[in-house]
Amino acid sequence: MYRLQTTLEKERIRLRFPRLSPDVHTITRIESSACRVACPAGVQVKAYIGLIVAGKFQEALDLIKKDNPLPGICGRVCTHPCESECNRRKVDEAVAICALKRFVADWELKKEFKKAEPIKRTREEKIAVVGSGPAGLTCANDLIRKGYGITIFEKLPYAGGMLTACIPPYRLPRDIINKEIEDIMDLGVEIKTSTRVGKDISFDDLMRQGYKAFFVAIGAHHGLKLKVPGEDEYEGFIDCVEFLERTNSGDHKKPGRKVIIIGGGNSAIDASRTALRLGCDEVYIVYRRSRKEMPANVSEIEEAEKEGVKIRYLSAPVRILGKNGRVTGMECIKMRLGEPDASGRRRPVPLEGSEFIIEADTIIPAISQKPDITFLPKDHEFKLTKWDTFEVDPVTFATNISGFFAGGDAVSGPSTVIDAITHGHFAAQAIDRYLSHKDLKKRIAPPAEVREWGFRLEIEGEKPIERNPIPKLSIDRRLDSWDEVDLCFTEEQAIAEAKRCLRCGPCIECQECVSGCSRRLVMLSFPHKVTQEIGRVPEFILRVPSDPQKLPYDERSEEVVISWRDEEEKENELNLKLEPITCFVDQDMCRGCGKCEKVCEYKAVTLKPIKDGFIVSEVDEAICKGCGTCVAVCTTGAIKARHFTDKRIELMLESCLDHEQD
Amino acid sequence: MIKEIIKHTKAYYCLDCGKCTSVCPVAAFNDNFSPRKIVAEAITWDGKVLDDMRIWSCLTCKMCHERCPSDVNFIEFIRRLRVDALENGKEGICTHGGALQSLMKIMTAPQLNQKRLGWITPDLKTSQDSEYLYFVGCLPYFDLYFSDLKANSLDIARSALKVLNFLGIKPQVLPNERCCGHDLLWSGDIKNFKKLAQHNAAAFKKSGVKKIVLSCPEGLSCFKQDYPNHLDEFNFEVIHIYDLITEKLSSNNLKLKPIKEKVTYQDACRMGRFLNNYDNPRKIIASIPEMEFMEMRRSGKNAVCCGTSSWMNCDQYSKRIQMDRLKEAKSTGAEILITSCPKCQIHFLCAQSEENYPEDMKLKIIDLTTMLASALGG
Amino acid sequence: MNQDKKDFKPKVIAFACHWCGVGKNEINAVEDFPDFKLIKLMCSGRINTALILKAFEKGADGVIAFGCPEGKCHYNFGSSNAAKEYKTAKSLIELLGIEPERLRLELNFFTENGKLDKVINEFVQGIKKVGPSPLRTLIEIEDK
Repeated sequence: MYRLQTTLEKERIRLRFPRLSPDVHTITRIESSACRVACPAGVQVKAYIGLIVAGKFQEALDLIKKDNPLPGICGRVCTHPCESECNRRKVDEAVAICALKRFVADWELKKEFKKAEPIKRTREEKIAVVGSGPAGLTCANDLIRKGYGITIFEKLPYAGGMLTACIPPYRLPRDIINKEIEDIMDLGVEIKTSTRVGKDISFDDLMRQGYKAFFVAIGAHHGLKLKVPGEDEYEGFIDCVEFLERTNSGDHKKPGRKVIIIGGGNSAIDASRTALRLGCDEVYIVYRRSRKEMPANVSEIEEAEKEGVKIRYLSAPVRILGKNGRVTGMECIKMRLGEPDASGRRRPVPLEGSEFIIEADTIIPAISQKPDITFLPKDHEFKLTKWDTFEVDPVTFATNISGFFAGGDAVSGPSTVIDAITHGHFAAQAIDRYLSHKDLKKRIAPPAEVREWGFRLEIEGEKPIERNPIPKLSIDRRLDSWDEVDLCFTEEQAIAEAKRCLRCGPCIECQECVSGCSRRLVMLSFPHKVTQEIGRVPEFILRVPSDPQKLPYDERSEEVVISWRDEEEKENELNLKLEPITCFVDQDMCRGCGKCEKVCEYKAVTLKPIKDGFIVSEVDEAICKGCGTCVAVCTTGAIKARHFTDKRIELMLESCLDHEQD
Repeated sequence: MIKEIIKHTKAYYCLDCGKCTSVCPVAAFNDNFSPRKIVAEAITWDGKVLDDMRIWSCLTCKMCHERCPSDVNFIEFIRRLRVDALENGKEGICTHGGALQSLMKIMTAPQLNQKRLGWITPDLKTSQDSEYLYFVGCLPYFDLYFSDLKANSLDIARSALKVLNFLGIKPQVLPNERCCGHDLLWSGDIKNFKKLAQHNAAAFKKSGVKKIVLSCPEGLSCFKQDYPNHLDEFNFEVIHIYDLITEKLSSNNLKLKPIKEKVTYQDACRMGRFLNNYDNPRKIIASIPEMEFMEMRRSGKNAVCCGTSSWMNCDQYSKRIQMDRLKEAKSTGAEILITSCPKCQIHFLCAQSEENYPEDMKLKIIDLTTMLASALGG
Repeated sequence: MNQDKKDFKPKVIAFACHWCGVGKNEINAVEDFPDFKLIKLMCSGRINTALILKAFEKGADGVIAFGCPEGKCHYNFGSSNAAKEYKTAKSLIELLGIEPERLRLELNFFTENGKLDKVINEFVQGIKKVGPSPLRTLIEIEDK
C-alpha cells in the first residue's frame, strides 16, 4: 500500500479522462503564485524558496535554471518585480527573493561541481546570434538544448553585453559573469568575440555559411544626446556607457576631480559609484525629477549616498561650459513637477529664472540609450521605430524579414536583464517553430495572469518577522577596491529568510513528489486544452507505470491511499486501486480458437484445458507486457486489456469526436 | 414497457413447462441460460430483466417458439427486451471488436458511394431495367473480412447470378444497396435498422423493380417479414433463388451436371423455422445426379442453429454448439456440409479453423447456391 | 452543417503507441492541431479493423495510426499486427467508398523535431482536400 498526502479537496482528486495516459487520477492542481506571475520569465519562485527551506540547494538551483540561465547575475542585478508583488508584504516586508537566488548560485560556486556535457547536435540547422548579452545568451542556451548549432557573434572583445561592459564589478563580479557564460559555452555554444556583424562579417556572408535563422540582440549601448549647447565640444564630456566600458576594460585612470552625472537610472548610479572608486573627489548626480521618480534601484541610490555621492534633484542641464577645450562646469535650471507624462510620471517643468552653475571638470550624461544600428547595411530593410529599436511581433519576436528575430534592449530600449532573458526564451521558441515549419503564432501560452486565489491566504496568524537585511561590505572597505558591496547570505540566514515565504497556493510545484516516488506513480501533467484565461495550468496526477515489467510482480497492482485535510481540518481518505497494464481472459467467453496464443511471442497467453476437455485461454500476468495485440485479434472479446478495453476506447472516440463541442 | 412486451408475445401464457429450455441449443451447454427463467424474471421482476446480460445470449433460432405449447413468441420477446435494454444503456458483446456492427452503422449514412460491384465479371449478366433485383447483401464485405477463413462469400453472389442468368433473368444489381439490417434489428438497434430499411426501400423504388431475389435467408426473412412491419410501404415480391429454380426443376427435366459427393444439409434458422422453407433446398439437392444426401438426425424443424447470431455474444457455448453440430454432420458419413446461409458457412468454417479442432471431424462447407451453379455447368 | 470544403475543421483521430515518440510530442501535436485528437495506446498492435471503423462511424474525417517500425516494436510483434489489420481496414474503407486519403498508417520513430509535424500537416492537408467525411451526417441527423 502506498500513502500519499495531498493538500487539496476531494473534488480535485478524480479519475481524469485518460486520453493521454491509462488510468490517471488527478491529485492536485497547481495555481500560479503572485511572485511567479510577476516574473517575466516565469521562474518558479515559490518552488525554489520552498526547496531552500528544505535545504535542497542543488534542486533549487536546477529549478531556477529551467527558466533563468543566469541566476548568479540576476541574483545581484535584477529589479526583482517578484518582490514587488510578494504577498508577504501584507504581513511585513517582501521576502528577499533576489538575494536567495544569489545565495544558491554562489553556493554552487563554493562546492565542487561537474562541468556540463556538450549537448548532442541533432538538428542540421545553425543559428547566428548577434550580441552576447542576456537575451542572446538565453536564446542560445535554449536552442542548443534543442539540438541546433549556435554561434554568438560579439563585437566587443569580451562576452556578456551590458553585463560585462557597463555593470561595475562591485555590483557584478567578473568571475560570476564568466562562470555563467562558461556554463552556456560548455553546452556547445560558440562565442566569437571581437567579431562585428556588419563590419567583419555580413548577414549575407553568414547566410552563405549556412546560418538559417538570426537573433539580433545587440542591446542599447548608444547613449542619447542631451541636446544642449556645448555637448561634445569639450574634453571631459564622456557618454556614460563609454565611460563604464572603458573602466570595466581596465582603464582605471581618474576622469577628473569633480564629476557631474546627468540622469537617474541605474547607469547613472553605476557611473557615480565607479567615479568614486576611481578616485574622483566630488561626484554629483543631477536628475530632473524628484527622488521618488528615480528609476534606479532604491538600494543603489541609498548605497550611492552612503558612499558620498551627492544628488541634486529637480535640476536639468541647460548648457555645458568649457574653456580651453576642457569642461569647466554645467549650467542647470531648477525644475518643478507638473502634469504626468506618457510614462505616468509627473513631467518636469523648468522654473523661469532659476538657472545656476555647478563647477566640474567631467560631465557624464546617463540619460538613456538606444541601439547602435550602424552595423546594418545602408540598404537594410528592417522596420525600425523612431527610437532605433527593432519592430517585432510581440508574441514571436520576429522582425519583418523572414528568418530574422530580435529581442532584448534592441527591441524594448534599455530595460532589465530579466526582460531580456524573457525575450530570449520566446525568440528561441519562435525560431524553433520557424525552422520546424510550424505556425509561429501558435506558441505556448505564458503563465496565468494573477487572479482571485481559490485558497485562503491566512495572514492573521502570521507573526511579523523582520526581513533579513542583505549583509554589506563596510563603507571604509569599499572605495579603494572593486570588491563586491552586497554580500551573500549565510546558510542560516538564507533558510530563515526563505521560511518567511507564505507559500501562496497549497503546492509549491517543486516536483519533489515526482522524483521521490519510487514507483513513479506521480507525474506532472499539462492539460490537453490551453485556454486564454488560465494559460497552461498543470496538475499532478497519479498514474499507472507504463512498463509493468520494470516492477516485481507483486508490486504491480498498487493500492494507494490518498489523504487530505478538508476545510474543517478533518482528515479524509480515498482508496484507489491502480491496476497494472496486463491482459486477462473471461473464460466463459473464450472459444479456445488459439489466435491469441499464436500472436503472443512472449508466450504469456496459453490454451489450457478446462473440465470436459474444452480448451480456453489463460494469461500469465507475470509475463504479460500489456501490449494488447491479443485483444486486437480476439474474435469474441474474451481477452481484455486492462485500461484499454474496447468500451473505454469507444468512449474516448466519442468524446474526441463530440460534435457538440464545435 | 415490459408489460407491453409480455402482452404482445403472449408471455403471460407461459406454463412453466420448460419445453423451451429442453430444446434450446444454448441451454444445452450453458447452465445459466434458460428461456423459461427469463420469461419468469420478466413477469416477476419487470424492468430488472433489462439488466440481465443473459438476454443477449439468445440465438433467436425459434426452437423454443416452435415447441411452446402456449405459443409464446420468445424470440420476439427477446428482441423487444433488447430494444429496451439498449435504450437503458445495456448492450451485448459484439464479436470482432464490433467491426461488423460498425460496418452496418456506417451504411446508414445517407451519402455513401460504395464500390461494391467489382465482383461482377463480364460473364455475369445484369441489366438496368429488369423487373427483377438481385440483392447481394453483405457478401462483398464478408468476402474481404473473412478472407483468411477462405469463405469466399462472393462465390454465392456469382453463383446466384449464374443461376438467374440460366433462368433467363438478367437482374438489376444496385450499386448502393445497404445491409438489410437484420442483425441490427435482432440485437435491439431498431433506430439504425429503420434507417437502413428506408435507404433500401427508397433505392428499390427508384430502380423500378417489382421482384427482389435473394440468396441469403436472413435478408429474405428481413424483407419478407420485418420490412413490411416497420416501413410504411414495402410493395415488392420477395423471392428466394431456391424457389425460382425449383419451379424450373419441377416443370422441365433439367439436365444438371453430376456431382459425386456425400453431402448433408444444414437448415438455416431463418430459412427453416422462420419461413418454413424446408423442401425446396432438398429438392435441389435431390435433383443433382450422383449426389448422395444423408440427413442429419436433427433436421428440418428440429435443425440446430449454427451457434452464433447477429455477430454477438459468441462464446464458449457457441463453440460447443458448433462442435456438436459439426460432429453430428460428420457422423452422417457426409464429406460436405451444405449450408444455405452465408453466415452459417462462416461460423462453421471458423469453428473448423480453430485450435485443436479434430482433423477427422473436418468437412467441406459449401453453400447450396454455389453447388447449384456448378451443377448447372457454371 | 453543410460546411464549405475549404474552411471546415477536420476532425482527425490518431491512434499512437506509447513508444514511437508521438506520445512525447503529444503536447505540441495537440496544441498545433487542435482538431487532431490523440488516443494513446500501449502498442500499435492493439489497433484492429474494428477500432478504425468505429472512428469513422463516429464521424472522424481522418484516421491515422502511429506505431514503431516493424521489427522495432517495443513488444516485438505489435507493429506487424497493426500493418496486417490496417490492410484489411484499408480494403473495407475502399469498398465502402470512403476516400483512401482518410486512412493512413505511419510506422516510424518520431523523436526528431519536425518529423511528426510534417506527417500530420500532410495528412490534414489531404483531408481538407477531400472535405468532410460522408459519415459526418450520421451524427448530425442523430441529433435531430
